Amino acid sequence: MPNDDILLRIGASLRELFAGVLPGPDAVDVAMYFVALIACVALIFTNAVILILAERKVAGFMQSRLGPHRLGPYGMFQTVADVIKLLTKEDYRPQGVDKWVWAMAPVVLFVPPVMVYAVLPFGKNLVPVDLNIGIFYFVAVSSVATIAFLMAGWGSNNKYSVIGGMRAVAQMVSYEIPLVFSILGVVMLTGSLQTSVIVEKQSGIWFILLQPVAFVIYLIAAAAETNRMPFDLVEGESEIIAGPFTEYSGMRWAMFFLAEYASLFAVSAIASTLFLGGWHGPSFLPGWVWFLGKTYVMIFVFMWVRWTFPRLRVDQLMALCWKYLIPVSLANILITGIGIFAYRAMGG
Amino acid sequence: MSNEAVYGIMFYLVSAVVLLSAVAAVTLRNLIHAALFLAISFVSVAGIYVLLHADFLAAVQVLIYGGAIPVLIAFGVMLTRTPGAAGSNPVNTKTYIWGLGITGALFAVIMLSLLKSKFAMQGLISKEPSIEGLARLMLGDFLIPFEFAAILLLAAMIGAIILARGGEAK
Repeated sequence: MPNDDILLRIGASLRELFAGVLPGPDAVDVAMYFVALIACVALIFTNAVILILAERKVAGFMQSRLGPHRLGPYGMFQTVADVIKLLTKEDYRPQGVDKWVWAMAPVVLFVPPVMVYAVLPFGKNLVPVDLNIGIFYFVAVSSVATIAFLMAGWGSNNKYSVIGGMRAVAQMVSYEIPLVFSILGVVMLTGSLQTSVIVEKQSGIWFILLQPVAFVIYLIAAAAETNRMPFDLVEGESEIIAGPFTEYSGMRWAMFFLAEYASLFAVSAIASTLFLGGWHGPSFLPGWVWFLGKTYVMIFVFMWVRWTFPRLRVDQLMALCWKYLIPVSLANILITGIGIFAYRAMGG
Repeated sequence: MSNEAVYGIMFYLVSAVVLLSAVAAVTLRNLIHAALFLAISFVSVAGIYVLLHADFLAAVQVLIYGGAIPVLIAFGVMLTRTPGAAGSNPVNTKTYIWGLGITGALFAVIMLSLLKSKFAMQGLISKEPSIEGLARLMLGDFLIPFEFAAILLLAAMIGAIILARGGEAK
């Protein structure tokens, strides 16, 4: 029953609680935004712990080994132990780094993924902030992550870090273009940038069936945007040690991974919003369960790709983006436009 | 606290961040730091757009001035200077009179035009989504200039690619 959604009921009762304490409806709204923010941050942290374990388990499965299995049943507490280890490590700052730039980089990198969560449509009436320009906001905010990689690469004062930072910038700036173009196909179909409207319009047919090419382009570009294999040239541990992360340790180092898994979840959630029908599904489960389920399927696809393909070279990376993805995505926009025009001409 | 008061506080907070980081961008000796403060200043301007309900403009501001321009500036600095960040700022003390004159003249022109023009302070904020109006203007009334700008940018991009490629080896 969608109306008896437990999360919506919690939200409504919280709203009643605040209305009793706070003056005026605006203050209640602000309080509810804070609740949404806390919920999103909590989701990011728990999700990172789960995803790191899942990644290691999936990797083990694909490479015919067990993965972590010592601590707890199926190694379930391995990541928890790792987090405690990282938290208790010494906060070590190398001597030659540019103090402030180096220290701020992991924090700056963590901001865009958190901000993206504001527009994720977790369920019907379950969008933290249902912005009118939702998808465009996602594109705009996630572009800021580039500068964090540049800060980390530059601030570390290390040649490997600078090379990694430059790779990150070249890669993320280039792959932003096919990412936006693939999203445009869906936006043309719906005529809206609002995430809740995009999901609403998929009640009949999921856009993966209408926009299969855009879906594939989105997958590739999103993998590149999150710097995951086969596009992890930024790290490239066999070539440039760990790229921008080389001079980091302890919790600062962990922040990079937290940000990576936060944005992995975000791009997967956007994929299920745009192409997989968001919260739509048989009604025996609430909408947000469907949304999370589809998102985790997408995350599994990203992991599957990661452990299947070898890393690309820099020139191959650029050639793939500029010579294949961008022309194909432009053609996709053109064909989508013609399709919409023909559909309207037929009186649809 | 009324909504206007909250609005005013937010406006002055965001403006303070914009101006202070702009001052830092101008005065800091380390060019990379200056570029990063410039980025903070640019992104904070998006906050003012949000306060004015110009949501699309705010997102564009973050996309262009948060993601692209600072990266371009930082790249420019990194590619033209030695790796030592401290020695990255060239200070020319010989011609500062010229610099003062040119900056002063530019400042005078901007201030004159600011003081001469009348700004409508009331009734500009609309709660309507700004993106529809923008689309109607750009792809309707001003379609031809918009497409001209697109062609200009395309030409600039092709020119940049040709320059970056360099001449053919003879």
